[in-house]
Amino acid sequence: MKHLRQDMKRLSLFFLSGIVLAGLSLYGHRENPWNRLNSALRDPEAFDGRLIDLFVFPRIECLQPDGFQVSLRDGSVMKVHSDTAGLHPGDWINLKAWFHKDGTLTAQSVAIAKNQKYKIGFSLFPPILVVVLWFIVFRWNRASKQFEPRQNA
Amino acid sequence: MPDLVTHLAVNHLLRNLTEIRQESCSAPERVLFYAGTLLPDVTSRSIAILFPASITWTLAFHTPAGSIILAVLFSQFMKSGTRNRSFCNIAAGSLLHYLLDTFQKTSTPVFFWLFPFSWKDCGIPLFDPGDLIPWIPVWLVILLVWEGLRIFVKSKRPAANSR
Repeated sequence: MKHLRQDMKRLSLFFLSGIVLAGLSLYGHRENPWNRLNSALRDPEAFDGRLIDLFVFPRIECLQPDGFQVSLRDGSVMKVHSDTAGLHPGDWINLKAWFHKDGTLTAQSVAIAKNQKYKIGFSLFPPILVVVLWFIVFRWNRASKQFEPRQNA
Repeated sequence: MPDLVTHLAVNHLLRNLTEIRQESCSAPERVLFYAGTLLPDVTSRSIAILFPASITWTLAFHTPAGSIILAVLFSQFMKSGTRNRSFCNIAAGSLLHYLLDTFQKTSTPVFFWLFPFSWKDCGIPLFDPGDLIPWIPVWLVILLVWEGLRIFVKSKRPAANSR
């Protein structure tokens, strides 16, 4: 009876936290304060002149006399009107820019994301380490569907 | 976000400082704490790097409220009787992750620590996370020296007690 009650509590918390997480995720998606490029490109007239956040690693493709071109993660390339001092082709940047309905941008601020490649590269190791440590220390019990510490842990 | 090596190193050292007077510490609890340290970035930023359009969907997972709920969810996979401590360790790791994130510079507001009640950006811009990369070997040396000292002190302790 006690086991049944514990299992019910576990199951309830499992589903409740899942539902709350889904709700938070939906709320974050709908109400976030960022103006995103995807939304602007879907409705260029409505977003004309608005400030857009581009922070998921746009990369400078080439410099031009009046600005530069950035390539986005989806493979598309956009023209950005900006001062190019200190910028180089291949730089990863955080960009805040005004959107224009012709599909170009005018930069408000450009910040180079320093050592971005190395940051992502180094960040691959800790999750691998923790997964390895996890299975050294815990074992999965199929019957009770839970992780249990190993005897020698 | 600072890189995950820096996150793990800082949290490891902070955890060691709090356990400095304890005789032994539980390995499972430490691993849960480390998992909690990585959880905010693994559940949000890494997915956004792979699938940029998902960033608004995973935004909630990189907030204290989201991490606490994730800790509740993950602790349900742990052994009965250890779930509360599992929750505390995962949540503590995640919250210390945010403490470090708070001090980084970004051009876009991303530190929504009061989510879902407010969209106020709670960042205090002190350092550029890119500047920390060259310091990774230093963290690793500090960790090695620290762990070496801990093992040395532990190995000496039984001899001192037996006298």
